[in-house]
This record gives sequence, C-alpha cells and structure tokens, in this order.
Amino acid sequence: MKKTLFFISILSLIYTKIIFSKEEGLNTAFQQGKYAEIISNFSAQIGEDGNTDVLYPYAFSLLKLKFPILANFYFEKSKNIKSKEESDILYRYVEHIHADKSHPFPYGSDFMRLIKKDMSRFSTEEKFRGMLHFHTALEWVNAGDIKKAIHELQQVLPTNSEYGNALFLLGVLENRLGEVKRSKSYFLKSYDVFVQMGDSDPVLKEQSALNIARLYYEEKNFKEAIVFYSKISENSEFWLQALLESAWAFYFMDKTGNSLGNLRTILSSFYEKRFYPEAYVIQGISLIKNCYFKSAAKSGKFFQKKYKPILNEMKNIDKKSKETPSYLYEIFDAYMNRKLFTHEEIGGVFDRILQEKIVQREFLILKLIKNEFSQIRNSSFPENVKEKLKDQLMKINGNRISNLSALLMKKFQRQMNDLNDFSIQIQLINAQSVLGSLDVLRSEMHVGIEQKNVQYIGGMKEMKIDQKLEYWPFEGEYWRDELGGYVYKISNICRL
Amino acid sequence: MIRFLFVVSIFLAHTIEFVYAQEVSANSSVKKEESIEIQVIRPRFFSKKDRLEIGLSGVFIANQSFIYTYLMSAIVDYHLNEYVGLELSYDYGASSEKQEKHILTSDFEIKTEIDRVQSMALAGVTLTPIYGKYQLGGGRLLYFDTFFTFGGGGTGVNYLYDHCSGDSAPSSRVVWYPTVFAGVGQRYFVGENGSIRYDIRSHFFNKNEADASCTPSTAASSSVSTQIVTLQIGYSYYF
Repeated sequence: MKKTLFFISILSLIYTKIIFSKEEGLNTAFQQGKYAEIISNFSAQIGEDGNTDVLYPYAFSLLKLKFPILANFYFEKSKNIKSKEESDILYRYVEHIHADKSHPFPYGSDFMRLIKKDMSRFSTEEKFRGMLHFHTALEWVNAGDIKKAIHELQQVLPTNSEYGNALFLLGVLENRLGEVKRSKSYFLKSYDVFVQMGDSDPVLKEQSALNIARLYYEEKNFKEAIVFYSKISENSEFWLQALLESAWAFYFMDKTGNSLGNLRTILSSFYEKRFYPEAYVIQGISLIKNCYFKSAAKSGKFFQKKYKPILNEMKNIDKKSKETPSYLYEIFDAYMNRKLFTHEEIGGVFDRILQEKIVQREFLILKLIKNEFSQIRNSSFPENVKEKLKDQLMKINGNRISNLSALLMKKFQRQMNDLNDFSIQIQLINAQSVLGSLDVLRSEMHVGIEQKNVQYIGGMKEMKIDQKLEYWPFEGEYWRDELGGYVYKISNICRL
Repeated sequence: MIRFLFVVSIFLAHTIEFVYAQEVSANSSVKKEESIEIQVIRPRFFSKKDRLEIGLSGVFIANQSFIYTYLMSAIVDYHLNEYVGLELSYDYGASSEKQEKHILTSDFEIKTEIDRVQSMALAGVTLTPIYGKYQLGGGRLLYFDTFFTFGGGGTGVNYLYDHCSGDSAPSSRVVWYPTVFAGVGQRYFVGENGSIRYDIRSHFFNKNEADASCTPSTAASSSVSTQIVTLQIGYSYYF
C-alpha cells in the first residue's frame, strides 16, 4: 500500500512537472512569437468543448499566422477569461479585428459573445464602450426589442467612433417604430457626422442621405427629397438608385422632363447590364401622362423583350434551388469567379444582390476560408495538425455555405417577385397606351403648387436665377460626363 | 322605325366623329411624339460673362520673307456675355534677319527693303459663336471655345534704312499706320479662371512707300497695302 501510494505520488509529481513545463513552454513560445510551434505542439490539446488552458494563445497564434477564420472560431469557443495573460490576448484580438477593415468583423451577438468573456475589462475602456452599446443594441434588435436597442444606442457618446453608426441605426429603428420625424432627425444628424468625418465612411454618409430623401418622399415633400437625392455622388453605388427614386419624385411634381431625363441615364448603354426594370415603369407612365402613347408602348415592348427571358430564367433557377439548396450559391460562385456561366442574362440581378454588404461579407468569409485551406496545405505543420485544422475548417465552411444559400435565396426571390410585379405593371401600361386612356394611370397625388413651380436642371439640381448653364444636345451618343444631366423637353400633347 | 333609324344614325355619326377625332389626334400625336428633344442641362463649366480677361501672348509674324519678327502681346478683354467681348491689345517686339537676307546681301549685293513691325496697338470686338468640349483618353474633358475678332488700331513700323548706303542714309524711325484686322482663335479652359488661347490674325494697313526710301522727304508718295499675318499663343487669367 505504502509503495503504491509512493508510486502514485511520484507519478503525479512527474505529470504536474510535465504540465508545468508544457505551460512554461507555451508561454515562452507565445512571448517569443513562435506561433507555428504553438499550433504544431498544442493542437492535440484543443478539444471540442473549448475547455482548455491553451485555447487563447492557440487562437491568437492562428490569427498571427493569417488564419483569421479559424482564429475567430476558436476565440468564440473559448471560455471566460481566467488569467491576466488570457485577458491580454483577448484584448489584443479585439483591437486587431477592430483596426483591420479587411477582416469580416463579428458583429451583434457574435461580437458580444466575445466581449462578454472579459466584460469587466472592456466595459471600463472608453474606446470600447461605444462598441459595446452598439453591439448590445444589435443583440436587442435580433431579439426583437427595438426600444431596448434604441436605449442602448442613445448611450453612445459623440466622442466615440461608433457615434455616426449609432445615429444611423437609431434612424432605422425609429423608422421601424413609425416615428418618421425622429427617424429623419437621426439620419440628418448621422449625415452631418459623416460629412465631418470626410471620406472615411462615404457609404454610410450616402446611405444617410438616401434614407433622408426617402423619408421626405414618404411625407410627399418631393422638393426636399430631391435635395438629398442630389447629394449622392456619381461615384456612389447608390447613385443610380437615387436617380431612379428621384425620377418618381419628379413624376409626382409633374416634372416628367426631369423624370425621363434621369431614366435616360439608367437606361443608357453605360448601364445596360444593371438591373433596374422599374425604370421602364416610370418611363411608361411619364410618357402616358403626356399622351405619348406610341413611345410608351415602345418602352413596354422593350421591357418585355429584355426582362421576359430574365424572369423565366429566374423562375427556373428558383425551382432548381428548391430541389438543391446549394444550387443558387454555386451559380453565384461561378458568376463571381467568371467560370463557365450559362446565366449571362441575369448577371444584372446577381450584381444587384452582390451589392449588399451582408452578402459581400459572407462571400468574403468563404474566400478567406478558401485561402486558409490553401495555407494549411502549404504550411509546415505536422500532418495530423493539418488534418485537424482542415476538418474544423470544413465544418465552418459547410455552415457558412448553408447560411449564405438561405440568404441568397431570400434576396433572389425578392428580386424575382419585384420583377414579376413590374412585368404586370408594364402590361397594364401597354393596355392603357393602346386605349389612350389616362384615367387609370393619372396620378391623383396632390402636390402643393410651391413644389410644382420649382424648375430643375440636370443632376437633380434646382435652377437658380442668373445661374449660368450649358446645354448639350443628346442625339444618341453617350458621353460619360453627361450621365445624370439629361432633361427631356417634353410638352403635354393631350387634348384637354 | 324611322325614328329608331334616325337615332341610330345620329349615334353612328357621333361615333364616327369621335373615332375620326381620336385618329386625327393620334396622328398629330405621333408626329409630335417623334420630336421629343433631350438635352443635358447643367451649370456651365466656364463662364466668361462680366469677367475681365488679362493675358500675355507670344506673337510671331508668319508672312515675312527676310526677317523673323517676335512680339509680346498684352491683352485685356472684357466679356459682356458668353458671346461678345471687347478687347484691347498692345504688342511690342523685335526682328532678326533670316539667312536668306544675308545671302542676298553678301552674294548678290541685293539690299532688301524691310518692314520691321515693332509694335501694334489695337482695339476690337470678339465674337464667340462656338463652345465645345473634347474628350481625351481616359475620359478627361477639355472645354474650349472658338472666337472671331475684328477691329482696328495702329501698327508701328521701324525703318532702319539698312538698305541705304553711305552718309545719306536717314536715321531709323518708327512710323505708325492705321490698321484694321480680323482673326480667328480658340481658348482652352484651364480650371475655372484660366485659359490657353491662340489667335491667327490678318492685319492690313496702307503704308507710304516713300517712308522706306533712302530719301523719304523727297521721294514721291505712293500708298501700298500691306498685310501682316500673326500667330499668337498665350495664357489668360479671368477675374
């Protein structure tokens, strides 16, 4: 018995010394930046539950070796902070991903899960406080509690880097609650903040302007709506959308010349492949409003010729996607990688969906995953370590593709349904143009005389007295600098 | 029955009238439909109206056989609007002899009579009927306008009397002749306040042949029409 106990104690001592030595080895290697050594030597200790002391340095080593997806995965799996070293590692990780704009930053609940592992440290740091409020708000939004989300966002200070984003999100949330005035005021504030920031976040600045314009449009204050549509620059991804929506505003202000002028840009050969079927609807009703029935019918025929095959193709793809969930993702992947692509004609639809930030983010993650597979192959890790990392990455990849497929399906179906609606509207316009009847399509919108009396030049700009203008005739040739500047000299030829 | 037929015929007449009116309306609409004009209307890139243009140009007289004449020209324009402007200019320069003159003198002992234009003071009107743009490679644009000028003033001809020999040669002098001119030019706009401009002008003046003779006080007067063609290029700033 005594011999057994003695033997056990010796073994325990030896085992503890080994553990202690290993930990010493890990800490030393981490301090010396020997990240590859850490991955090679400690992969075996990483279990499925994340319950291991080596996870933080392991995950950070993956980050340093340019495996951001795997790093993020292991950081998410890691348990709450136990030591100062782990706290420092997590802090450095959050700082890194916040600074690296090319990194698909975890947001909302994903980010909060990370922060909550060491909440006491992050909540005391001024520079993270704004982020905490912002992402907590996103958590509340996902949970469906808009008011709590608004309360969180209102605690973001003007000195914080997230202030502009917080104002923008407040605008979105107030609008969801139906508080249009408050929503507009938040968007106006966020617009001012982004203007002061210069070009550091042009996308949100322009989105703010677009949302303000839309809110004015909803209030039927088309004049102010156009002011904000005109603030969106030609280089912006939202510019064509601004031209389209302001075409509606011009239509309701009885400025069909300006409305048609905007559409001239969208329907130009420069933007042939872009997906804006609604432009034909506005064009059709603008022409009918002035009794240009033949032109309206021509416009409708052109729409059918261009979009009927696209709609049929979309319905085809929708049907196949229901049978094979990853089908749509595979088509998108082929389109983005310019592989043999049998759906050329709906490239415009894909581009439209790919413009969305949430979609771009998911594709970026998949791209990073592909890079990491390649890096694992080329790395000097032992084979068993490579296998382990590859297996884990494949699981992540599978989940991401599944999520992305569902997201793409939702977006695709929405575009398809919209196109279907426009197709019906165009048929109605065609019918009306054949009948020559205005009653069904003539707008009953009551617009104040002060809005109708304003005159506009190209580019959604109000004409000022004594303003010096230049006029270029458009005779079918498109000049890059003229896009957005067209105005139709169209007179109403209806007999009253 | 007759009443019924009467009512039907009235109804038919109105229908025909209505359809005819619609057809006429549609036909005239078709004609009007074909005439939709589309323009690009936007703030003018470069405006000259009510602006003062001050420029400096280098001038070369292009039609002189035996000398090169280079002048510097100071130009002041006031643009009443985009199309019409008033211009004042003063040119001053010097001439140098061409190789041909030296050969004529040295090899053939031929001394040519030269009109050395030393200065010009002119006033005129500019008319700008054309405003345009070029598209360069890479999509950049170059805005320009084309103008015509005409006016009058004086040309100062410097007589050196180097074709006269001996002590009887008169001392050099500048004689001014009333001048009219017409020209064409272009301005290429640089930013919102500048332009590079070039002009080709033809100046006409009548000079007295006696002024060039070695005995101007006694030589017989004889008026001869002289043409000077100038090429000038320079930069203008707009205030």
